[in-house]
Amino acid sequence: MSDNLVIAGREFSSRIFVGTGKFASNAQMMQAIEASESELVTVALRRLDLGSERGENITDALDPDKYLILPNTSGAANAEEAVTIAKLAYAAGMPKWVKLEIHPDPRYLLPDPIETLKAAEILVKEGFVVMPYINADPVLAKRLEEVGTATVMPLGSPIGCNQGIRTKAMIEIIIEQSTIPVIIDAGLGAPSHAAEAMEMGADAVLVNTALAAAGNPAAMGKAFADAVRAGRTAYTCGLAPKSDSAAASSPLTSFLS
Amino acid sequence: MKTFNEYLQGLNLEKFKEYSRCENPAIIERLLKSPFPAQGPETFALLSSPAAAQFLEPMAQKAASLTAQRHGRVIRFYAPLYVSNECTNTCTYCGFTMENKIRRKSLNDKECAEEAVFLKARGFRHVLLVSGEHQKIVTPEYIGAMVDSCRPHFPSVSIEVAPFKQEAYEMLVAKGVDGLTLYQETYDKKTYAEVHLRGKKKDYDWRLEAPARGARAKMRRINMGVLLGLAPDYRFDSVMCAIHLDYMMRNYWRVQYSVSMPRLCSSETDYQPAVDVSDKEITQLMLAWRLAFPDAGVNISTREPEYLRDGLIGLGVTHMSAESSTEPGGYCNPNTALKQFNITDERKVDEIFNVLKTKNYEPVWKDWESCMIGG
Repeated sequence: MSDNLVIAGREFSSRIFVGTGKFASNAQMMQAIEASESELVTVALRRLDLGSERGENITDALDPDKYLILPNTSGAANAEEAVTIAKLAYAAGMPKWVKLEIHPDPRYLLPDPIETLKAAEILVKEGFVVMPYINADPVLAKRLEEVGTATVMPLGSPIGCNQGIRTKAMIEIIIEQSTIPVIIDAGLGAPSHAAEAMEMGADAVLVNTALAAAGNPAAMGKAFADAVRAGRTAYTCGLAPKSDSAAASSPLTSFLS
Repeated sequence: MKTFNEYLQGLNLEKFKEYSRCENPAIIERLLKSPFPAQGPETFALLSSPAAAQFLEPMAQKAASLTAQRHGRVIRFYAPLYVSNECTNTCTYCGFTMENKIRRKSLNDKECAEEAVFLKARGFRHVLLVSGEHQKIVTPEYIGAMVDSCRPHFPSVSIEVAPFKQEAYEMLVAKGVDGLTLYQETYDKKTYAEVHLRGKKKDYDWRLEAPARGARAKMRRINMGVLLGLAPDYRFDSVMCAIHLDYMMRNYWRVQYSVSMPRLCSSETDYQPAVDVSDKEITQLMLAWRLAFPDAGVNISTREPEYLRDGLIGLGVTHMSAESSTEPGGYCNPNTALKQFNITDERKVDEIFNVLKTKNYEPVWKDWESCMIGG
């Protein structure tokens, strides 16, 4: 049976998504994306100059047949702005998919749960495939799922901090309860972080800074691809036992004899 | 959202069946030591398998600490209140079955209130209204009237009645019903058809989707289970219930869930169980429920013998009934001719409380108050 990831009916053979910010050049970005084997890349609409000549935008470097180009709403500080950005992206010929990010906080770029839920509700009704970036909040994840989002994308730690999965206990609950794909987004700074997310049962990971800020983004892209594959395999075949150090106590089933 | 039936279409049930028939102890040993993820129906299937039978003690040790951690050292008490034994179904195993020439009785408002007053005086604050399934007599409106007459006496009222439409559940929730108990009886379609010969209950799918209808109607608590002894493969039948519970937990996540493992009891029928589930086997099932679904409640009713009920305290049980009567009006006017089945543990509540005390457990009468949400 195929272990491909399916989101809103579209199949992905790679479980790593790549963000396109912070790269030194489009060429370097493309090398990193190719090495990562990713089939989904996110692009901040605010960074596109839709009136410019061909060749100057990130999207010009990306082959839409090879990659799903997922516009994100980064820069939006509330639901209204996010909805506008999503519609603009669609009107500009991008897919009717959106990575919903609403962060009114410019320092840590933490997502606003209330505005995100509001915007998700509107966008789902308008037929968008919505992939919301959220804090690792299991109840919010379920509320978004009920609204009809295609995935949830909880953060491992604040965007760009490379601290790994600091929200582990909550992400475990989100994964356990979710009926839609869970993608760990933000904070994954090393391949080991991505492997950990996959071992926990995440459906995919999204990385950006870890590649863009690496000494060799392409080589790091390859390292992440390997880590994600290893983590996924470990999850699907079941991890080996940890030592059981439980102390012996008095028998509890002697009443049966 | 997929219905449970649609969800089942996409599952590889053979894998679950294979797990529930596992005979390799190494697999169980490994599972008992494995880290996250180790919950859910796959785990349940393996832990209820023949191979796991030799691991009861380590399972009990784990279950004991999980139970204390997730549920505390408390047992919640409730009493069934039978309101009617009228039934239009032919269920070959049930004392209320249509062909049975027992006296039929449906309580009126006054009689229901009298039963309620009796149970309240005994200390009960949570009552489960139970009835046969009679299309014309035990209607949602009738159950609604019974709820009205006992609600003033109880902060928490649950129902165990025929599967209703979502609107009927909504009406009952508005009247203050907060819990729904509904057993599929058996998930084995062949057995289901063999034991449910006549009446609305023949409709397997209508019953199957009833817990979801209840959840959509905003029932706060849902209790599920299979009647052990109906399907020859009781293990896989329980696994199907685990799959159903898992589906419910994921899709209707606001509900608090619990399970029951009722075994067929002697009744006014000559039905012979397809399989005898031993005390050891039911203990294994309960441990499997606890380990695979740490947050689910587990009910043990007075169907079960004293020693078993006592032994299971601390191993996973969270809810117990006591001093139960299984006939309509049976608390104020005991009359054995009306019974659904014979209970086994006939001890008074006080005696059971003493057992709890020796195990350092606390009995809880009340843990819900409908008026908090305007009920």
